[in-house]
Amino acid sequence: MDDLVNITVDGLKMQVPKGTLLWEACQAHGIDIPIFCYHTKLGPVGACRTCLVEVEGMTKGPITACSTPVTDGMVVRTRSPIAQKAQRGILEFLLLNHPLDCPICDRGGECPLQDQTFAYGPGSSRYVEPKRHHVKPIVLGPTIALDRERCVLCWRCVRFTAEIAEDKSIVLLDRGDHTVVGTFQDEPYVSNFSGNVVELCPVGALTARKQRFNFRPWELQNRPSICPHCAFGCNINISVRKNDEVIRFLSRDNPEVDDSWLCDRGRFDFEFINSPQRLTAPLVRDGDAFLEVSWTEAFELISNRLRSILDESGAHALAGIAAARMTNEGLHVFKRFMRDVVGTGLVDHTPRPNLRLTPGQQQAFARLGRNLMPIAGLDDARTILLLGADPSEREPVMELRIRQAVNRHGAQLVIANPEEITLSPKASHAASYETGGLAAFIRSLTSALRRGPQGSNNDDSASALVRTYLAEGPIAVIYDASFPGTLDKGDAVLALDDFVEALRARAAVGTLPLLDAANSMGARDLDILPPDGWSSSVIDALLGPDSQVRAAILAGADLAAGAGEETLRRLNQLDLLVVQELFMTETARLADVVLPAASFAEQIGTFTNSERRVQRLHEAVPAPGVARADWEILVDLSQHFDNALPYAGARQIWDDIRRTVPAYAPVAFDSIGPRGVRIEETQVLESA
Amino acid sequence: MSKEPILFKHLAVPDINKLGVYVENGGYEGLRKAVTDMKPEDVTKEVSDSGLRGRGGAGFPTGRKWSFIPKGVLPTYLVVNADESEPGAFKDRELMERNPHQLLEGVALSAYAIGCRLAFIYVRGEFLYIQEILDAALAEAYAGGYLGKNIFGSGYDIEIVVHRGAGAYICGEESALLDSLEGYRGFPRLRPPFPAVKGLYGQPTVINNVETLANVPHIVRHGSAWFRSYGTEKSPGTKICSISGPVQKPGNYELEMGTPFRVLLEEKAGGMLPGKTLKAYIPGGASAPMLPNRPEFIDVPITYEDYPAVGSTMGSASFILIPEDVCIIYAQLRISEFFAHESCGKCIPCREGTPWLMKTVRRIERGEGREDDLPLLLDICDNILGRSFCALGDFSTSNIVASIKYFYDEYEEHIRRRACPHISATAAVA
Ligand SMILES: Cc1cc2nc3c(=O)[nH]c(=O)nc-3n(C[C@H](O)[C@H](O)[C@H](O)COP(=O)(O)O)c2cc1C
Ligand code: SF4
Ligand code: SF4
Ligand code: FES
Repeated sequence: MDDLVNITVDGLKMQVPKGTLLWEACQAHGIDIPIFCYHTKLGPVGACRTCLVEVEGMTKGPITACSTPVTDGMVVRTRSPIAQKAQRGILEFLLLNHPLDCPICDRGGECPLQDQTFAYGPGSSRYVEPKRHHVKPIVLGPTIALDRERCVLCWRCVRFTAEIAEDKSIVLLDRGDHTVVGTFQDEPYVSNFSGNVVELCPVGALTARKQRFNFRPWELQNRPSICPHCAFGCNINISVRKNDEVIRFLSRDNPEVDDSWLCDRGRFDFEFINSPQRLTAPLVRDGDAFLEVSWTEAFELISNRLRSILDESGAHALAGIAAARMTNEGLHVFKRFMRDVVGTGLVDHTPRPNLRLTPGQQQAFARLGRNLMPIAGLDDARTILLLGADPSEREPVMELRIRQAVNRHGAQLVIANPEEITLSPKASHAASYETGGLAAFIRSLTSALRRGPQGSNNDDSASALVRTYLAEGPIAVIYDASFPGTLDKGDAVLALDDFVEALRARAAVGTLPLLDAANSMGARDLDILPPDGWSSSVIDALLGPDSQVRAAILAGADLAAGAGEETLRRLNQLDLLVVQELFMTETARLADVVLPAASFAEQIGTFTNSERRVQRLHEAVPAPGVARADWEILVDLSQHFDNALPYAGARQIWDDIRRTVPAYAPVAFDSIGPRGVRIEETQVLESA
Repeated sequence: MSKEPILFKHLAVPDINKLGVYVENGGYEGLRKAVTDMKPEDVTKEVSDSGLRGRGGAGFPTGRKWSFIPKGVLPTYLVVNADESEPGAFKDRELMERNPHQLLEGVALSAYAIGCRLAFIYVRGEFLYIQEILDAALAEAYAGGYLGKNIFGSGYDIEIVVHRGAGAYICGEESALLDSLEGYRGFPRLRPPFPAVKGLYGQPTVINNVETLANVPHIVRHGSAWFRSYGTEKSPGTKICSISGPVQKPGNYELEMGTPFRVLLEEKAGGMLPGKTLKAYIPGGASAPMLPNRPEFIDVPITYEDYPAVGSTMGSASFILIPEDVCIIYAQLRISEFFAHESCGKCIPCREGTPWLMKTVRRIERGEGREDDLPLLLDICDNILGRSFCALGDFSTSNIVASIKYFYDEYEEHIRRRACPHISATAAVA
């Protein structure tokens, strides 16, 4: 290949793509060069000079490996006396004013400054002057504290806020050795992505206020998982102490999804897992109170009551609603329990788009769900069109991907929304329509498209938009599958589907829906819906005034939360209410039997994210008490019925999913690696 | 100077700062000739042929710098470096103060050569009155049709904006200057991309010193061969030399390149003040290594090539004289304080190293020096030089190394006697 160049590093000959940064080339070949300011996701800044190496023929002294692209024939020495002296010199400088408070520093034990000093630094300091001091720590904002004495001024936090999150809130103040990190005019650092700077900081200068002094890194083990807080599916590591306590979430770089970023909701909202309020044993109602019982007692009670209700009133007297944050395995067993064990089709998931679609609209909705594009494909998009969708609210890290597509890959962002959204200032074009007017707006675009090249010469705004931004692909269309603010959602579905078809006639198009919960896509793919699909809601059937339902199984579905009196009355009226939950929710309080469920961090399984990527969950910590995975609960309960479910583990359930859902058929459980497996469009088409 | 001066030729003409007087003396002739008669590439070629080198310190060939501007990437920008913050340098100030139109004409000509229609003059923060002089001259030139739209009916438009910095030495470094001009804190930028490819607002940009551009009208008017009749093969033309310290007549002198420093010192500046003897001098502002008073250093021809040959640099030709009664360590302390104060803080070696140098020199000066301080100072310099992000870090080391090299005994004496032998003299200078 002609775009490879030959270089020699420490005697090792290597071929690398032309233009690769020397540090990256070395890294790829297992040669370590110390860095502080460089970060693969941020690019070079050349500020810290830690990565100095000797290059044959250099004229002005050692060069920075992080900012130097390789050139053919380059001969590099990373450990020569010259290189070592340079590296030692820089580390000595770095430590001159460093407080060396490692014993009380949160970073101690996983600190690049410690590691690199150990590996490349001088054994002692020749500095006899008094050290620089700063007031510490400083509260930078609601989430982050700053220790200026520890800061090595690597610019990572500054560049993250300037280039990735673009809230430009962290800046460098003052000059020379007075330079400090801070915020403009001391305004608090408020960001949806603040936690990332803690992870980027190569020392203990930036810490999460929630977690300061809570742990020592060497007590922790990192276990891979998926963030449970939205449908984007960012990859995380769960840091666990003593095998049973979740200490923090860290990002786990998946370039296809999160590209190593997390939002603060995802990163900081984990304490529920450790909560002492978690349900630890099955409970049955005893008047106004609950009694702890064994699983067997609970199952016997449920099966007896359920059987008599079914005998008296038939299968339609039972409804089941599952949370869309349950695993694919949990949802699949839930559905099979309902359908095959107790024989009811009245199932649904929550939260879900509140759609009441006609058959025609259902087909349109299904078509929309098929033409998904990969998240990483945003980087290739010429235009990204947000139709009534606000990723910052729904799937926050998508906001960062969109910014990156615009900043690094030149995508044009077009936003159609009745209101200003976080991304609005980033848009090449922002169109507004009246609240509720999404369908009409989309139709105006469609007719401009259909007028063809001549017709779109009209000077109405839709034609101008089509002409300027939709003439060439690839075009990414992002919509909110809940169509917030739209009254006739079915009409919006039709309009959107028609628009995408019209667009496809002209250019390459991909769509991405914004969904409600971590496994909303799984719930759709596994058809956790009433028999007539999106045309009704089991919640209506359950709670409606002439409901026939006498018994309900609510798995993580907290219908009573914030609900009106009528709903509470209906739930109270049920002859049998079984709730699978993590906590004693408002719904659980109304239940006859409450079953303690394992959280996402306590079980093996899979989620499917909004680009239809299947990703693995692992058992990071044990579930509290006798709590267990939703699917285990239902499999065990099924043993008390005639058609007991045969599953012994998540893998077996997955294989059954593959048999049931053709799109999932090619994906073997063990093939789902650390980056997950995206189910491609064609496979979904085949299944349709 | 035996030949007629180039840049200071009209210094004595009363009111040369006025447009009318400037024009009467042949002003704007070069510009008229260029825009009506020459193609932009012809101007670049003339300047290349003249051998003009950057007067901002580095001496980069000016015509070559212009030729790096890619064709067809518009707009391009010309930025004039009038930050003049090097201690000891005050030549650009006089050029702008006394003869502003000479610079403006040079700017317009150079802009024409690189296809630029909007040029900026970045003057240092303290130069408020210079900004006023330039703005007044600009207003006259616009009104007279010498600058602005369609000058001399050529169809070429040129607008010049004078911008004042906020006072930082680093903003004289060309890429930091661009940051500052764009409204950011002045930090030097990573190269590549070089300013010629991505400079001001991400567009191709040429940055030149005031004195460099002031030469251009003369080159265009009289030709490159004429220009080359001044100076040496490698350093054609003249150089404005700033000389300061205890001499009879400190100030700016325009000398033909190649004139020995002795002529500047003894003839132009009239020699040392009575009772003062020269101990050492710095030829190129605080960043150039000092040289002791020895004949071989006093007879150095003032050129880009001759100072490096004796271990220093001509830089911006800002000569600072240090007399015998000034403590070298004290003089060094002042220099080290300057660099520690002006380090921008972007890179570790300069940010941490310059204050360390300063504190160590200060300890020695105060009589608290330690035996291993001298090797320490040299090793710190070694760890800064060639390791820092921009040349400021390198600059901070040059006089430490030179002063220890030439005045080792003076350092040693401070350390041994635990005091400054010059205490009273230092106080007098301070
Ligand atoms: C720290 C530092 C300060 C500088 N200050 C100035 C200055 O005040 N004026 C100047 O013309 N060049 C200064 N320079 C040099 C400029 O970076 C640049 O080389 C010059 O403006 C180019 O113009 P020239 O080619 O016409 O000399 C400085 C360089 C450094 C590293
Ligand atoms: S606070 Fe941390 S990330 Fe920010 S500049 Fe300092 S060391 Fe770097
Ligand atoms: S050497 Fe480094 S700290 Fe010093 S001025 Fe240049 S970039 Fe700033
Ligand atoms: S890692 Fe290369 S300069 Fe900082």
